[in-house]
Amino acid sequence: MQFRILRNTSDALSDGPLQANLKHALGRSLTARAAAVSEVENWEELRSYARHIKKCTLRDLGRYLRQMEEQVQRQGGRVLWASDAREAVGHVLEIARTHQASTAAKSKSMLTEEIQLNAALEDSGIRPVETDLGEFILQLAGQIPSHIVAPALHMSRAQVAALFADKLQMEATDDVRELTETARRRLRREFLKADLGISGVNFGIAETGTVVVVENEGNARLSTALPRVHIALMGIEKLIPRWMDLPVFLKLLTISATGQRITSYVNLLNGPKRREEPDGPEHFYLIFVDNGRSAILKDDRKRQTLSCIRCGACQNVCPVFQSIGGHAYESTYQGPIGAILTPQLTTASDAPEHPFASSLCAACREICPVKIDIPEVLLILREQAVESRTGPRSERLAFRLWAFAMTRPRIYRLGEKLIRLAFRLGAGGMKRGPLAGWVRSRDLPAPAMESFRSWMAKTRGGRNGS
Amino acid sequence: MGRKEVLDRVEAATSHIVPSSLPSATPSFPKYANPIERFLRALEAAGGRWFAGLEKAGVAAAFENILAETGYDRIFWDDPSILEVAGLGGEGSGLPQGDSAARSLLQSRHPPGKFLTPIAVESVPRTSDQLSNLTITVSRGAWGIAETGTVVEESGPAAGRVLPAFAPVHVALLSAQRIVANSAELFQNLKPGESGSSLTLVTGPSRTADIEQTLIVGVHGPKRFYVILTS
Repeated sequence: MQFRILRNTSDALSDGPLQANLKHALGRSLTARAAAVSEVENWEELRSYARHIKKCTLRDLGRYLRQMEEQVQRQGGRVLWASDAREAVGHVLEIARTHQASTAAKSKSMLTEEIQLNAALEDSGIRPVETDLGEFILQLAGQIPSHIVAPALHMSRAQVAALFADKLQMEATDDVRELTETARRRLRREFLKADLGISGVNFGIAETGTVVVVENEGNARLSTALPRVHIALMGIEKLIPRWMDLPVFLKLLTISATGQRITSYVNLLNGPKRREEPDGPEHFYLIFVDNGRSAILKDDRKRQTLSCIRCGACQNVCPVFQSIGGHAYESTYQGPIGAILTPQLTTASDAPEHPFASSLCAACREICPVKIDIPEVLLILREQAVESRTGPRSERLAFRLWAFAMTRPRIYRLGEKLIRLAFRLGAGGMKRGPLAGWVRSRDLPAPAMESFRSWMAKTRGGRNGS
Repeated sequence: MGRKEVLDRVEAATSHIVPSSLPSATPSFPKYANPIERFLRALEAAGGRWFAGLEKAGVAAAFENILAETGYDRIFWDDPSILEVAGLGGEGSGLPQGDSAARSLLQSRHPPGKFLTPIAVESVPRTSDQLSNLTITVSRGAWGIAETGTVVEESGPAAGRVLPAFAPVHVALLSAQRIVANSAELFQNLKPGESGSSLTLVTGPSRTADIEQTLIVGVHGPKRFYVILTS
């Protein structure tokens, strides 16, 4: 068992530039969101509605998946099903072979990060080009996203400038406009060359077979307009039942993610180009990806995890994420939603610390646009971790000791005395021993010199003075 | 292969649950006393530009303005009927089929010198070279949304996906009668399946804030987005 988050935390906390980047970016996102929410009179009603719709969808997911499949096929698209990452990647490679593709223009998709599609494409001689600016930066840097919505949020303009100077042979400048223009010029050539356009899916509308891709840059629009083949990969939980449900989800998503009333582009795609249309992809494939999701569906309390619309608001508001950033989690999904999603999508022993990387302050529950009770799921996962002994051994031991003492007043009192004694002997400044890691970046408050119990006995609750 | 496995697992996982019925009423969306006014303000807030309340002659003048502002001298379109709506010719018959036909039509309608720069018009460019040289594209907006300042661009026999997405400057012609209050109203009006393969809700120019949350307009799509609202 490895404790990666714990190890990464102290590095992240002492990384000055990272701390500055996090503070700047997350603060701005939260401010923009709050302003946009204040414009919406029935925000709470929208949240409750969306939560209810997601609940209904997940309870009857098989039916909606079949309905979506039928609608996409009716429009001339093909639907493929993948039970895990390997199968999903296999489908994409097979499509690439069928169409003799050598390059793919990719728009932002967390699911393709989850199944590590880029590595598989490269291994098969197909060049994937990330076209979202943030993802493009990360591809150049050889990094994974550190945030669901703003993947390169951990980097400063100076870091991006240095990267572009190194990899794109451009003159170093920290003018963001010039950096963006460089990416634009380079990626326009890629859009024109690409054989495949690969996108994620924000919402799949079962009733109409519509794939919804929400974005600001226009790269998803181009990835689904220019290449002759469009492949959309979709987690099976991304369904919504009806066309008329979309306006609510759209509003919740864009406001929660970036504080925009709507993003620059919302692409509603219904299969390949029609015969009479002048352009658009000739082939459209939709890949339904399970990869652990159906297992989450089983549990009545954990099922809500699959309601997530990937807005990133819980990451922005989380004091843990604000302090350590996304990379410290070493997983595709980070922050509060990542803390409950990661151990359920992978196996719990691959992410032993995720459910514990939270202070349970519940800010995530307050901000979630679909009202996922993240703390509730965290507690369930913690319970399971403890029961299955995948949690930290020292913590298990500490809690067992505590439970032992709490049920035996004499021993508890003795313990108190020992702790006071230890402090008198200088344990507060302890640089070694079991608490060393804890006190390195925190103060260890000394216990009161008198215990509550002895004060109570002496004063009868203050009635005897002092 | 994958299909049966995934569906079996999903159904096994949910077999113990009684499905709950979907609500029939959806939450309300805002209405506006003056939807056109709201549309224009919201479009501006998203970084879009507009010309409004125009008859045909005014539309042609708006194009002159756009040409002057952008410094471009060419306009591209998929939809030949644009010419008529834009007051640039047409009349429903003798639609320009290609480059030279359109150019001569334009020149016949507008005396030389009226445009700041000579205009060449082309239709349906498709090669990489042609696309790399796109300047201003024009399409007809199907609907407008007042709440957000959004224009709905629908693909169809005379409207592809590429031109409005790839050009550095895009102009949407929109009839003021097609502006609805909010996206819920829009979705009531749009019949999915009856429309083309692609429907895009466009709000202002392309933008990004991926580097230090600094807003930059024009990353992959149009750097400038204009709406010409016809009455």
